[in-house]
This record gives sequence, structure tokens and C-alpha cells, in this order.
Amino acid sequence: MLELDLVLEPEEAAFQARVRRFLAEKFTPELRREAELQTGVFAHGELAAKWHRILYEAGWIAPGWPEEYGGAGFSATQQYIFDQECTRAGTPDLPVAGIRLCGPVLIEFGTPDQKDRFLPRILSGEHVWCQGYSEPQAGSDLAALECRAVRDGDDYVVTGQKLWTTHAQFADWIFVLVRTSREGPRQAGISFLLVPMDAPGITVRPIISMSGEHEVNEVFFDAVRVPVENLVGEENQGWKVAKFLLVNERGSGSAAAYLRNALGMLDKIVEPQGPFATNAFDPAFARRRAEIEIEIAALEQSEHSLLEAMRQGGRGADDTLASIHKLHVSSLMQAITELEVDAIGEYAQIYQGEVLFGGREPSPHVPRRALTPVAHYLNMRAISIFGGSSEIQRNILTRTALGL
Amino acid sequence: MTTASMTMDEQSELLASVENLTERVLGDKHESLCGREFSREAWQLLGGELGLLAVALPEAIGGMGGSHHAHAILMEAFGRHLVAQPYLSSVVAASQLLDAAKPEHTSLLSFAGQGEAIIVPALSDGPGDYEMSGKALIAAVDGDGFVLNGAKALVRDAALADQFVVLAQAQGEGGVEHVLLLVPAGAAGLAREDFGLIDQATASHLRFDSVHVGSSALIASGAEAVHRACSAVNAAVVGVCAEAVGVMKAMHAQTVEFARQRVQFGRPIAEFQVLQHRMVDMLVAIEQAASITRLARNKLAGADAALAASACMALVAKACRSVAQDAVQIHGAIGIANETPISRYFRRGLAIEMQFGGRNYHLLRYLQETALRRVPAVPGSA
Repeated sequence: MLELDLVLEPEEAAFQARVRRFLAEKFTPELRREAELQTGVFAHGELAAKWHRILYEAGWIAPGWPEEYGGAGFSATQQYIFDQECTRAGTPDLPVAGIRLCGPVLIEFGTPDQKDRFLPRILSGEHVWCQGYSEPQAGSDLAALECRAVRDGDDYVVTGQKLWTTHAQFADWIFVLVRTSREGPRQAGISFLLVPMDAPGITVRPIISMSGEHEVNEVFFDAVRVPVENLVGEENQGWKVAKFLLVNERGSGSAAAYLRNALGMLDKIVEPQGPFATNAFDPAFARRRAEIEIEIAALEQSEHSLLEAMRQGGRGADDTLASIHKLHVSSLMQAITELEVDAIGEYAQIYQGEVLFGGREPSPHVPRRALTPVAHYLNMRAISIFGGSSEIQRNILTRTALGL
Repeated sequence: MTTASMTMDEQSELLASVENLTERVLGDKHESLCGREFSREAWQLLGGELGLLAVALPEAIGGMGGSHHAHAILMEAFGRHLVAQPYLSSVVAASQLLDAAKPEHTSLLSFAGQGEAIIVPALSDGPGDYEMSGKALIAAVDGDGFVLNGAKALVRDAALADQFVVLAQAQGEGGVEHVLLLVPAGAAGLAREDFGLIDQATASHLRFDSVHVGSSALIASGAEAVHRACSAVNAAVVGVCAEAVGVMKAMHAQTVEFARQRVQFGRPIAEFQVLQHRMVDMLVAIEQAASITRLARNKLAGADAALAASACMALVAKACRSVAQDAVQIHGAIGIANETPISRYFRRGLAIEMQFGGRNYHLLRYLQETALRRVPAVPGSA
């Protein structure tokens, strides 16, 4: 396998060793078995809660946050090493809404009160968050959103609908983009609000995805009263907050490690003694796999070059690279899941939703490795759609990189 | 955290100065160097007066010690400006082949770095001989020298050479072995048949009819000869990939500029989303090619050189093909005209793809190299 040769400084190597010791101790074989069955984009339920707790207790749940807010206070390099080691070990992909999305927004735009109130609870896992961005008529065209918030005394009254809301069924809080004005450009009438999911007037309706998994939901707001102190940033300045969050959603320091892990799962499916070993020796399969592996190495180099640029004082979040990386990650992940499906052949026809998500016992007539590939493939169709579809990324790049 | 032995600061400082120098030189001398056939005066200008050819060579022979990283920067700039020069042969490959411990080699290399001598490797027997068998050229021991008989096919830049470095088979004490020999281009018995290439360069079929060389011609024999030849090819593969990145960047910039200017249906075609996305896809492919080339150049000095060089070419050749095709497509009919710059870049891109065996071969070699590294599974490691 082609990997970067990272030459670590002594203190970086010591840090890496510390992370490895931690993972060896805390990421138990039981947790690993559960994590391997994860087919969705994120882990959830018991597994997510357990791993969140473990990282929280170690002080490592928020690698990217500054220490003063309870983050791990890692340098960019430490964060990269940490992400990489966790991903290599195959730890659960924790939901991003709280730690990765809402937290940084509050740190950047929140009032001192909002920070005090929410950040510790995001860290501890007491508050599970979800993201209220998309609506029926506002998908890729996010600025078309119509869910409205009308000021009434010390409250906003929120009425409307959000869609594709990941993990709304587990969430205690939702951050929503709402329309607070219809004057001027559409982007200039949007605000960013924090809403408790138990507020009267909120209804959550599940959407079962084609894999049989319940990850996303519809969330309805019927005259939900939200105190004005839950406004983040200024009224009608929410688009700036929304875009800040989207760049965070796209960018991840160690997508290459994430993809290598998926490639590792593919290798387990076609393992030499297993039922699908013939694929591993099929030249067409091997070439396709090799092409993916090479592209992952290129992505790893690109991530590392960005990290080096940051270490030399460059800006961290680069819109152009974030979009380029999202395009690469989406297409590579989807290519890997296609190979997973190809690898199990006729078994791909079997509906495994009830086994994976309904608690039904797996059939002894179906190889264990045939359980997850189809769900993984089906769920990963979403990766080129959420967080700005691949077409939207190309629109962004037309502007930022082509200058058109 | 760094990825090379030179510290990050030293490396980036040197590379930045190489980049500046290259851009300045190619900018100033654009008329005489870029998009034209080879000219010895221009080559000597690059090497001597401007000091550009030696930046990657060791300081002991008048270079700046920039190594593979500086090679890559120069090659990318040559690609961007479509400079047809034998740098890849005479400097990138030759610096891997010659023996820095031998004074006559270091002086030859330093001449090459000044543009005073052109060294051209003829390692494989010709198309398809990726294993560099050396079978087509036999070196018989003759006193303390050798007599060469046989041929080398499709040797790029051979018509420009002052010296060849050939890989041949010799009958050694322990049986047949490889030898790496220096052969002057004017040696008696050496005949050349030249071909024009699609990218304005030339290649030649070389025939050796009892060509005598003395003992000092021997660079290396046996495993050492093969090792040097492989290092030269790996370095050249990554070097030419860097050139491809430059070629692609130039094609992309020209295409975006053309799309801004070209009006159809009453507006610049750059306003059409289908073309915008196509131009973005070109950019995304170029970013990937640049990244894998950077990775590979960091690997050239280590045990994974062949693995990385083939990974690099497998990906770069694919990118090069699609970017070049898109560039011509977006230009429309003018893109296929011989006189349009884009068509010259297109042809150079195609030559680069095939120069060292093409994408399929490199993907296969990547798989073979990967298989060699596969450690038997340790129980419990899954």
C-alpha cells in the first residue's frame, strides 16, 4: 500500500503513541464488532453514546475546539494524527451535528451565555444535536428556505418544515436556518436559531431510507416559541453562519484514513479464505481496487500539503480544497461501496434491513460478510448529495477556482 | 511532521527560489525556448548563463542540491511552457545512472548541468521491454574493454546525444549479467535512424555494429547496473509526470481563457454550466495528479520508488488523457488545428502517457509491487 512517510517530531511521535495506547485499551473487540456493522454515514444509538462517553472522559471528544471551551486543544498536526489513528483503528463515526458543526459555530458567533450554556453539554453528550437546513423546496438551493420565524415579544414564533434531518429522533436540540425577512436578497433574510426538540409544536416523522435504515426525518414546526436569546449571530446574518458551518461540514482532516478504512472493509469481504475470495484474484476487480487505492494516496498527500500550509501560517479552511476534497471523497467512497456489492454477487439481492436495523437474527445460509455491503452502498449514495451535492461543489469551484 | 529528510523550511526555501528562477527565465526567454524544436543554443543558455539545468544536481558538481523536488519543479515549468528540451534524459535520468564517486562521471554530469553535454540513456531494448532485459544489445569482453553488437529501439532524444548510457548483456564470470556502459555518440560502428515524434521531439533506432568502448566506459555491472537503470527510470517517470502536471495546468488555463472569449448564442461559452463543470472536473483531476506526483517525488529515494512511480503514472496518465480531451472539446474545431497551442500540448500529453509504457502497464506494475509487499496475514490482525 502506498502511504505518506510521515516523519514525526519526537513530541508528535509521543503523542501518536499515547493515542495508540488509548485506543488499544478503550476500543475493545466488542466495540469493534459493533462498529463494523455500521452501514450508515454515522454511528448512532448505544454505540455512538458509549464511544462519545469514552472520548469525553479522556478529554478528547472535541479535538478541534480550543482548550478554553473544553476542547482537546490539539494543534493541527495533533488533530490530524488523532483523526488518523482513530480512523485506522475503525472507531465509530460519531455524529457531527454537535461537536463538528454546532460547537464551532457557537465558539465563532455565540454569545458568552450561549457558550456557557451549550458547549459543556455538547461535550458531555447531554445534548444530542441535529441540523435543520434542508426543506422540501430548499435543497441545493438552500437560500430558498421558507421556514419562518416571526418576532413576538421576547420570542420568535417558528413555523415551517425541515427535511432530511439526520438523527432528529435522538436529538435534544436542533439548529435551524429560518427566514426572518423577505426584503432584499434571499440570503439577507435568514437567521440561525437554536430550538429545543421538546418545545411544544415540534413533530418528528421518520423517513426510512432505501437500505431500511432510519437515519433521516422530517421535522415540522407549528408555531414553536423560541426565546430570542437562542438567536446565534445577528438577525438576518444567518447566511454567514450557515456558510461557515458548511465549510466545516465539507472539510475533514483525515478523509484518506476514512476511505482506507472502507477499503479495509472491502478487503475483509474478499479475504483469501472467505466465500468471496475469487474476487481478490480477478484482474478487473484488482485493477479497479488499485486505482482507488492510488487515488486515496493522492488525497492523503493533498490533505497533508494543506496541513503543512497551515503549519506555515496559511489559512486552515480553504473553500476550494474543501470542495475538491468533498468531490474526491464522495466518488471514492461510492466506488468502494460498488466494489463491495460486486464482491458478494448474488447475495446482494437479499434484503438485510431487518437484520441490520430490526434486530432479526441473521440467516445461517448467508455469509457474515454479505450482511452489510448493500446497505453501505445504498446509504452512501447520499454522500454526493448532503453537505452540498457534487454539482453544487462544482458550482462553488466554478466561482472560487475558475474565477467565472 | 515532514515527509522528507531535508527540513521543511530548507526545502521550501530552495524550491521557492528554483520556482522563481524558472519562471523568470522561461518568461524572459519564451520566444526562443517555448513550443519550439530543440535548439542547442537555447539549451546552453538554460544551462550556462542562466544556471537552470543544474539546480537539482549535487552542490559538489556545481548544482544547488535540489534533488527530485527541484527536478519536479523544473519539469512542471517545462510542461507549462512546452519547452522541448532533453532535461529528462540528460539530467534527471543521467544523474541516477552515473557514478558520483568517479571523477570522469561527475565531470560529465557537471557538463550536462551546464548544457555543454547531452547524455541520453538507452536502457530498455525498446517498446515493451519494461523489464530492461538488455537482450538486444550484447557486450563482449574485449581486452579490458567491450565490443557492442545489437540494437536499441525508439531512443528518445538520441539525435541530440553526445554520450549514450546503454544497458547491455555481457558474459561475466558467473554467467550472463547486465552492464551499464557509456558510449560516445560518434563511436565507430554506431548507426542511427531518426523518427519524428508527435510532440516535435525525435527518437532513433540505434544499431551497434562492433562498437568498441574502453574499460573506463563501464559504469556498473550486475545488480548495481540494474539498480541504477531502475532508479533512472523511476526518476524519469515521476519527472515526466511533473511535466504532465504543467502541461495540464497550461491546457486548463488556456481553456478557461478561451471559454471566456468565445461567444456563441450571444454569450461567452464560459457561462454555460455544462462547460463550467467540465472545466472544474479538469481542475479536480489536475489537483489529484499534482498530489500523487508530490507523493511520488518524496518516495524516489526510498524502497517504494517503483511502487510510487507506477502509482503516479497510472493516475497521471489517466488525468492527462481526460484533461487533454476536455481541453480540445471545449475549444471546438479550432482545438484540432495544428497551429493552435492547445493541439501541441495535446500531443505532448499523449507522448507523456506512452513514453514509459502507458497507464495499463503501470497499473499492473503497481499491483505486482503491492503483491511483493503483502505480508502473510497474522492471526487476529483482522
